[in-house]
Amino acid sequence: MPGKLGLYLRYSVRSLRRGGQRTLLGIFCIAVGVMAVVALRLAGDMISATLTTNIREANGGDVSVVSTALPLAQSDLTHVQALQDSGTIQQYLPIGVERGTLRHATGRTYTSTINVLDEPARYPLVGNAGFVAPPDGTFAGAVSGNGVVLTQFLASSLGAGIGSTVHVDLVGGAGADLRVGAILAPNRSLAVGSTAAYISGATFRSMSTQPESYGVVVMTTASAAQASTAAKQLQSAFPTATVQTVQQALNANVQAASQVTQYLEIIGLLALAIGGVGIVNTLQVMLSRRRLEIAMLKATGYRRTDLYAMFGLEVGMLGLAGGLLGTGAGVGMSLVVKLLIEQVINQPLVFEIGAGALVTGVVVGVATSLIFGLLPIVRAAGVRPQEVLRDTAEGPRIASRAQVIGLYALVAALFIGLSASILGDFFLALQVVLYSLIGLLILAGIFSLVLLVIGYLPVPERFSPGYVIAVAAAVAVSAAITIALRGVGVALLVATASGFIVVLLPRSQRTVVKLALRSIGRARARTAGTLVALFAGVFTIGLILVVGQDISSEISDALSNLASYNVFVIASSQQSSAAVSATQNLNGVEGRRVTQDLTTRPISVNGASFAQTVGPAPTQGREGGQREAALFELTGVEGYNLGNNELPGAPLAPVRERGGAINSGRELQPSDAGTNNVMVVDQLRNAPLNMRVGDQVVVENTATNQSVTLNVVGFYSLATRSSSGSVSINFFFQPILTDRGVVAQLGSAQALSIVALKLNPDHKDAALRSIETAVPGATVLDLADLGALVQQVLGNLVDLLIGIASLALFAGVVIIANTVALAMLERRREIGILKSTGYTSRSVLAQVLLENGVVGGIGAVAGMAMVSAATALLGGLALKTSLAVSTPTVLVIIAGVILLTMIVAGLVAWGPSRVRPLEVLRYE
Amino acid sequence: MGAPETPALEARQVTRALPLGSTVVQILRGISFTVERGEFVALMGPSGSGKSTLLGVIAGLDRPSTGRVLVDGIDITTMPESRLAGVRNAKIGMVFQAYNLIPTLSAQENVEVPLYAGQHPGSPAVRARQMLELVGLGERARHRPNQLSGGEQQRVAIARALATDPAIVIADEPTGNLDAQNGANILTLMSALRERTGTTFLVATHDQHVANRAERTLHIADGLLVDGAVAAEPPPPPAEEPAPVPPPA
Repeated sequence: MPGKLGLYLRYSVRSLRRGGQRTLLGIFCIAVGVMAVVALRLAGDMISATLTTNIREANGGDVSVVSTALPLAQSDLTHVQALQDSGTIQQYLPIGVERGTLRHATGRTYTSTINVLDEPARYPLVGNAGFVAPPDGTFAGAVSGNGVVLTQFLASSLGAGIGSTVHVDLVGGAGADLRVGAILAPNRSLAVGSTAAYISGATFRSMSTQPESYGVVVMTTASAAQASTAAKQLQSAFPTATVQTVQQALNANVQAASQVTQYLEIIGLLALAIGGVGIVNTLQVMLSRRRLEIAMLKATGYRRTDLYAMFGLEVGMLGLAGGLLGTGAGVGMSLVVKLLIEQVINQPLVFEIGAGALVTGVVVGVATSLIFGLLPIVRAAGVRPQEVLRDTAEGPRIASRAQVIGLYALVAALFIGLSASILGDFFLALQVVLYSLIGLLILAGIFSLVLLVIGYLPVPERFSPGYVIAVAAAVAVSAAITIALRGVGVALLVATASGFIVVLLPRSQRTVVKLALRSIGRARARTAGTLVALFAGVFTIGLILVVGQDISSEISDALSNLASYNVFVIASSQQSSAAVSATQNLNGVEGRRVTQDLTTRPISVNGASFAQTVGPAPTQGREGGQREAALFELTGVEGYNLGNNELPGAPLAPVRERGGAINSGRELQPSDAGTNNVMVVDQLRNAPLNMRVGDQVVVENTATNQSVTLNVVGFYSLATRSSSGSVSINFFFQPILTDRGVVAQLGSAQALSIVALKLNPDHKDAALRSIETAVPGATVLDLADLGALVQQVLGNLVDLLIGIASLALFAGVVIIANTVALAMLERRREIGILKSTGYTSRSVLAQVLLENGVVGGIGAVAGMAMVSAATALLGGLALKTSLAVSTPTVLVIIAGVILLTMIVAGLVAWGPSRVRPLEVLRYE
Repeated sequence: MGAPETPALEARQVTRALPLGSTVVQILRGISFTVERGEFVALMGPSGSGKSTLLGVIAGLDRPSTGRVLVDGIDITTMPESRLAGVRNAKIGMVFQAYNLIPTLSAQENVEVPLYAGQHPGSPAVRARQMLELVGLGERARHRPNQLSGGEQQRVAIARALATDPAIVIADEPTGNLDAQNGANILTLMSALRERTGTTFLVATHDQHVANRAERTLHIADGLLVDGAVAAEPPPPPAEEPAPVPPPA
């Protein structure tokens, strides 16, 4: 047995070496799939580790109360104190949550959450400080004496280090230069958000006159049961807050992490499946070249099982090489994916490379090769030696057809098994593989039909009435398609119009066209498989590009149409007059509006308690989203000088027809000055509040508990679409729009003055400098920065998705290379015959290029047609907007794919097309 | 190996029909003959006469439509594929016109190939070495096929065919790809091997020179044996005392 194994090993290694380019392509196919699985799994693991590691520390304690929309007042803490007095909780720590802008000397600016620690010596309640630098530092030391602690992400974004000075402007407060006292490790950042900073209560009080309020309260308990009891009592006391125990936090994070990981693994699996198709093709080529060898082995007494073992060993080695390469590349790729995900979610991920993922990569490589290698191996081992040795065609056998069907079923079953072991969910794996299989089979069937038709297209010597009518009809159909799908239609127009051109070509070139078309009609199943891979690549990349481009331009349009204001100056009540006067006589001001904004808490709606109406905070789900939205939409008033005809300009929401007409009311008018009439956002017409015109809402100042009763006179829309199709976003700092008199009733001392400016871009920089000098404590928000940030995040997301989708296109290209190689191998004799009758290498190559160009064109046109259909559906149903597919983008993608397939085919066919006819006709 | 009185090969009323488009072509029409142990038989016939089809059927690479084929007394006609492979390995050695060596394996490894397929006593490496020395290629054992001449490759193929000590070696145009000198050398080698080892040879050929080396010649035409036992010139006497052929070890 060792001798036999040795022979098999030597044979396998040498055969792989002899395979040369083909072996490399096979390894690449596997490596691409494995790389996708490993990279995405590692990324999933990193997300999982980030979400589930140190969950108690991330929760801040055994129970956390988060109420950032409606911060808790000092008086609210009596509930928490009572719990401590009763022994339900051990310790508690309130944390203030503010907003502010941080600016480093380098000019880099970031808007961030600022956590205020009244008792920094007790923070954090559980675990250690978790500083990257200084490693053994404490919060008490770091935030003392105008110190600030930054998360690592924020520090690197600002370019700040320990000891750096950062200028911090608190929203509604003053500015101050703070010294960076410590930098928080990334895994600790998660609890507070990656862009958080910490200051002491003393620093906060030196910067702001606002009374302190608490967005977060964390506490410890002696047991999980006590945590649960405390959570229930706290939720009852603070119905609008989110109360979470460690167990609830863990459950939520585990679920979120497993969903993300599973999603990424499914994408990896699809790449693996496409790589598997590539392996089938590659092995088919490699083993087809060895039919004579296989026949000889069988002639000397080798059984099928012997051949399965020999080729299985070879394929296993191919898989091992691909698995190792793919795993290595996957680790590298995971870093790229990690960076892209971090940029998209704006959250650092814990870098972690688990041995499990690496071993999985290698095992998946070997298993995938063996599973997909089954088809070519069994087919190769089934060759009838007599037919190969005598070079006669093998006829179809019923048994072999049944065997092929059985083999496909076996491969599908094995791949389901592999997928189940990767996803850890058999039924999900079953669904993913079966749905993909059904989809791929339908696609392959459609492509087979198209190929059949193309294979029979006439290439006449001269025009005939029938031919002219047929081509003209095809051109007319293409023209009709052009009306609906311009890019795809133009490509089809070019293709159909070439029906006229081909007749005018010289005879030799016409024959090349004819041979290319007839060749497309052969080996349809294989070509259809290639087309499916190409289609998948083109569709995914095309869709991401088109949707990304559309969303990007929608955002640009929306920002440029944004309520006519491009700069907002936010100042506290003390700085209000300075901000107003500093913006009065600026150069380049084309529009200006001053409002007073105040954070409020909803008390009741039509006499019913708000908390009872919306109910307690659920842990997750749609209901929770609606509840949060209702809360958010009533947590602030924006006061306008209506008497001076300064109106919000909020467009009235359309009348709701569903379930009976719901009136939108009216817009605010100058006559509303001095009244408590308000406009609220149209989402409040939905559950759970189901508000209507005429409803009364009582809100109170969160700082002073001063309350007013507001009368709803109208509902406005946050986004409107003009008749030209462009989107306008209506941007307000607080959701309840009213007269400034209402703000005065609630208490102007806590109100912020917001000066909205429409600045001419040519004067903007000078104006911004002038404002910052005149009102140094004010926060200035430039929408251009916001737009650039959104575009950057969107660009990163598109890059990430295209990176993943490119794997599919790469596998498609490898499959094309293999298909061409296989076709050239099968047609060696045919090429010899053509050459012996006067054809040149160039005409043979031209035939191959044309054939593959047509194949690439079919895949690209079909892919982009599907992109157009998908974007229409996506725009109409999901995004409620009309997404346009740009014609140049479609044409560039189609032309690019055609060019790519021709280049790949040309590279592969270059050598075989130069075969010497005598060589193949005499010696093969 | 079977009993001494059992013929090495026996074909009984073998027919073979193959579909050709919508029609069925009768390639072999009922062929019967026997090859005794130690015989050197030539099978001659024009192109399309059914020569190669007959060789395929009796070598167990193809099945007859009707009739029976017995190799060393074993009826291979209806044998399942896995057992047939065993018979091919143990009882039949094949030599092809195009040598059909595995290009990635050395001469030594090519000869070892059949020895690893079935159960054979002794070391395959030692046996392969002996076979290569028997055909005069002991010094070329480590060479790959592309480093050998056509004649040398065919000698490796013969060594491979003899490696399992088969009941019969079936050669299909073994000199077809060789020049006259190399062709003659191969025939001389086969004759000598037959003398030394007592191996039975059935050689299909177009070449009358090849047939002249055989003890008898079977002529096939249009799927039928024209005359079953045409006497040929007696084989030339061995040039020297044949060297002892090593046993299958």
